[in-house]
Amino acid sequence: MVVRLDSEEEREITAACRAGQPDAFGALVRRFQDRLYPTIVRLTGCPAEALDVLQDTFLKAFEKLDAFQGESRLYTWVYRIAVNQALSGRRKRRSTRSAENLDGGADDSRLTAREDDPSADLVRDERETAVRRALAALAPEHRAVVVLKEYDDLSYEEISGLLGIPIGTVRSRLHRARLELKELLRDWVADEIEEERHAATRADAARMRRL
Amino acid sequence: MADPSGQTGPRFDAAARGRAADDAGFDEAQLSAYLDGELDDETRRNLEALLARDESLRRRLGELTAVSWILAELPTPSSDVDLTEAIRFRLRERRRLRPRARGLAAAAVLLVAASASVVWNGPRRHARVPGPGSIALKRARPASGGPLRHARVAPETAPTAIGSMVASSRSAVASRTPRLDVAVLESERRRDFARGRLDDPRLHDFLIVRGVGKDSAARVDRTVREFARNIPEYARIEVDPALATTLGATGRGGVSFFVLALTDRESASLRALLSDAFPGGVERAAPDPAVVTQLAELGEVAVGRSPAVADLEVSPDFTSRFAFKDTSDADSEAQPDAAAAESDGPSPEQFNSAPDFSRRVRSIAEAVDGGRRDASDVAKEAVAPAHSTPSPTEPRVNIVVVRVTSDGVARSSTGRGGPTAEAASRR
Repeated sequence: MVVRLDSEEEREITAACRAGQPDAFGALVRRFQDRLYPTIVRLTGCPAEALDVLQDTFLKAFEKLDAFQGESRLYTWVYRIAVNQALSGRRKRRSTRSAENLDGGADDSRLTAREDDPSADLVRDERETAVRRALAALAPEHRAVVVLKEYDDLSYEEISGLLGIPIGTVRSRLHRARLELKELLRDWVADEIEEERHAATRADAARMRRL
Repeated sequence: MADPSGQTGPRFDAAARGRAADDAGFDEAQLSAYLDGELDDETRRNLEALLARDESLRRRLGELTAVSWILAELPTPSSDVDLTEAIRFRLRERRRLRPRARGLAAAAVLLVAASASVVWNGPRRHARVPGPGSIALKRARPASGGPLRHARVAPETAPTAIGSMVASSRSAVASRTPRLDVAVLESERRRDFARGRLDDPRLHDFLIVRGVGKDSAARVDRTVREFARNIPEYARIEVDPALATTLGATGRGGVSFFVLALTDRESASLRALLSDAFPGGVERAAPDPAVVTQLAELGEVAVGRSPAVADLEVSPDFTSRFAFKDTSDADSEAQPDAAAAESDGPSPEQFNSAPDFSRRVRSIAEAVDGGRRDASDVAKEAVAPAHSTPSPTEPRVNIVVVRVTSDGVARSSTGRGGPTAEAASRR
């Protein structure tokens, strides 16, 4: 998650926003939106909801800009707000989308170029759907640690700070979440391990031949 | 992945006693931490030594690794939507973000109080609640413009020492913590959740558990948490001893309220569980709605989601001042017993069935909260219809469990400092 905004520019944007220039804030929205989007989609499990969350996030950030004291990067600050917004129970209750709908709303990247083997595509699609479903099936608190760890690659300490929970809790939650995913993705996990073993065997065989 | 040198290394404490994974002291979450590079050197070396010997442990690690790989294959979502215009528009309009979400529409509330040494004097039907709650509320949401939802509590009541205590606690945090914004926001979100659950006048059950022995409060705590494994979302409100007296509870320590949204059947099984745990010590009483609706304002609110018992935590920024936190499972390294207890976790059977059950309950809450359907219909559907005895009351119950901490302030949070502001930007 490499997000760097030139600090001079960041200061300017912040100052302009504080001076009540919504246009300056627009620049900030453009910069941050794309970077925040993947995390928020994964946290909420739904693209439409993610856009909702991001809108609210930016409005909240604008309202509270005075409270931003510059100890952290502006992006970090907005990221925090976005994550908290995404995990807010209110939105969850409002949403009536089912896990099936989550798949429908998957994402556009599915359309990006694939290899030519259509059966490989099929398997991959099936697997992606399974992963999305599994993530959607997790309790939001569990999904949160998984997303922040597996996708945003935050450390336990960072996750702890972000969610306001002790590091020990991050660790146990993450582990429980992975165990649950392991069950939910049982067949795929078995495939993956099998594949890995074959690869290892092939590598061994190759080594033997060389000897 | 195992370090071969570790097999013959001198550090082999756990494995020397037998198979690693079977040892009560082994915390399986170490496997995840190992994957994530989050173990300190010594623990890592020990684990690698165990891995070298323990085939089943290696297999489990392999499975966790596979899970990570599979997740990593998911493509990064992207969107063509540009929010700039929408946000500019909304900024210009300056309208409220959204009306405050309602909690469950209608419900009954069950309160459970537990204590070794505490007598719950109230709340009685017409008990008066002094002003602190409404004061705290006003302080907490100065700019919201939203309606005060607890207007039924005498607004003319003069400020009390307790009220200013809540308020000053907030401002103290305000001037001290760079995390203020998120902390308050987070705290408000929890409070909203609890308000949503509590702010309903149709409260009919109040359960007092009279404990015997000094750890009775902890036992109630465990029972409720254990039960809450199956509940998607619940709140715990910690009320300071000084504030607790205004609620009619006297005795040492503060009071904990557990707030759970349950069907009638579920609430019955919780009552049964508590009755089993405290034979003869559970009695019912009528709660005063005015008191109940004040709870979210009086104490520090934590919102948890099962099954992880450790999930329920109170923000350390506030606990240090006037709320309490049970840190027993926060740091498993420091407390092997707690770690062992946690890693035991649910049985595989429970583990498999819990998510479904959890989803079911969640869907009740969502359907009801979304206002899409009548609460009783949803609940009837969710609860096996064959068993539904015709009940004159709503089939859904908000449960508030009250217990009194016997050790009070002694357990205030000390385990962890505030998170670093830079944390998320490092990458």
